[in-house]
Amino acid sequence: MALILKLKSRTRSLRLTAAAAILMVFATGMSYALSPEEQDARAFSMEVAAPYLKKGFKLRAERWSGEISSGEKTPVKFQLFKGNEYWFWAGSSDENSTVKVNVYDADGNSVAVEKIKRVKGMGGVRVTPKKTGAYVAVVTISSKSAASRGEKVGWALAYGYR
Amino acid sequence: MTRFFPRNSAFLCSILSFVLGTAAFTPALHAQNEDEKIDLSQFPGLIVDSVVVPIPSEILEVLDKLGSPNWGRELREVGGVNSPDRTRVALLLGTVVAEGFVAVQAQNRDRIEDTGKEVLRLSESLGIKKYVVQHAQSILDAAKANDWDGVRRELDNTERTVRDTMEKMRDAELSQCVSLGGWLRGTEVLTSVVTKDYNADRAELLNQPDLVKHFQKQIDAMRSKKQLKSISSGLSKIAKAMGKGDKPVAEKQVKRINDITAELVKEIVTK
Repeated sequence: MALILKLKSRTRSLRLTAAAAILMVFATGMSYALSPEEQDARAFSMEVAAPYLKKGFKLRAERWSGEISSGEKTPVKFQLFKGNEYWFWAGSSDENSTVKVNVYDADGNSVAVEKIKRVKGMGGVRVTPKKTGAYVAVVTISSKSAASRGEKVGWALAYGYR
Repeated sequence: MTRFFPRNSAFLCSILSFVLGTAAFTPALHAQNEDEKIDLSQFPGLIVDSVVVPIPSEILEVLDKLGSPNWGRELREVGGVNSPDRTRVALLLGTVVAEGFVAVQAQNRDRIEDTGKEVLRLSESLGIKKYVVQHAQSILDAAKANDWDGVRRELDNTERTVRDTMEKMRDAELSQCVSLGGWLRGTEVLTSVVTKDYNADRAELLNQPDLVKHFQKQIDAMRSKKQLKSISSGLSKIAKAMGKGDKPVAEKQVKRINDITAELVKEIVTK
């Protein structure tokens, strides 16, 4: 069963658009010890990022990824600067999952000004910080298939600024 | 009465439709509210210990939006330092990459080429040249083509590759030192620019107390923490000068942070 799932995951990796795959290679350089689920999730995060990079957003080379249970919240803390505009892009290894990403200030208030919604397997949030300081991006992935199997799902987060 | 009833009925209808409308949208509003506010105390470990270190160009580009700093004046020569000490070489590598970002703002091709060569030389000292050589070449190629965004992208990729490789080699401390060196040099440049033309918007870019705490915690956990004693002490002073991060750092404190970071960077880059 595990092998079938791995194969499914790998097959889906191949289905990712060439543009996203090429972008990921150029943008991230080498990726070490990533599970196929994380690789898929990273590829999806790049797929959702691609149109914004054409609009002048500069992609940060570093990525954050891992595996979480469906519905679990994963936080990553960032230092953001007033005067910059940021997009955070998130991807999931399950192309049918719902991906939510939001950014919160130190008091836990959302600072999102725009979100990418209703796109399966990926999500995004735009932030224009009113203050320079530390903010927390939270990724949540709701995957019915992972939940029904009691398995974890790959997540990935990237950001760009301009 | 006949006149009153229809009028009242319209009023009741509007109340009813408002109530029904509100009821219909209640789940959506709840979902939105839940999304609008979060209890950050549910993530104690991650939130306290780890902050993603920004790359210098994220800050330098805001400074560009706030005015036209003389980036050429901020540039410093790179190269010539040899050390058998890997911790110092990692710190040095961080400062060199940061210098590259300043050179991008200054659009100084010669300095970018120096940066690319120095990145390669230091990577060789750390035994990771083969992972970095492609990025260094790309930096040189992009500089020759005046592709400043390409240079910035490759500097970012270089730092990431260096840190990834270090972590793969189970040397996370060196990876952290690369980030630390870059942050120190970046902060030195930031404070230098703000000091020359102080205003609240520029000074607010120094509201980074969580990042300073993050570096302090990392150093405290390092095997080489004794060696990094002066940096640790400098970070404590910087944290004090920055304050809580709830208001722009005062002009005097900006100068103080500049003096501290300049001194620490000098220690790293002096032959």
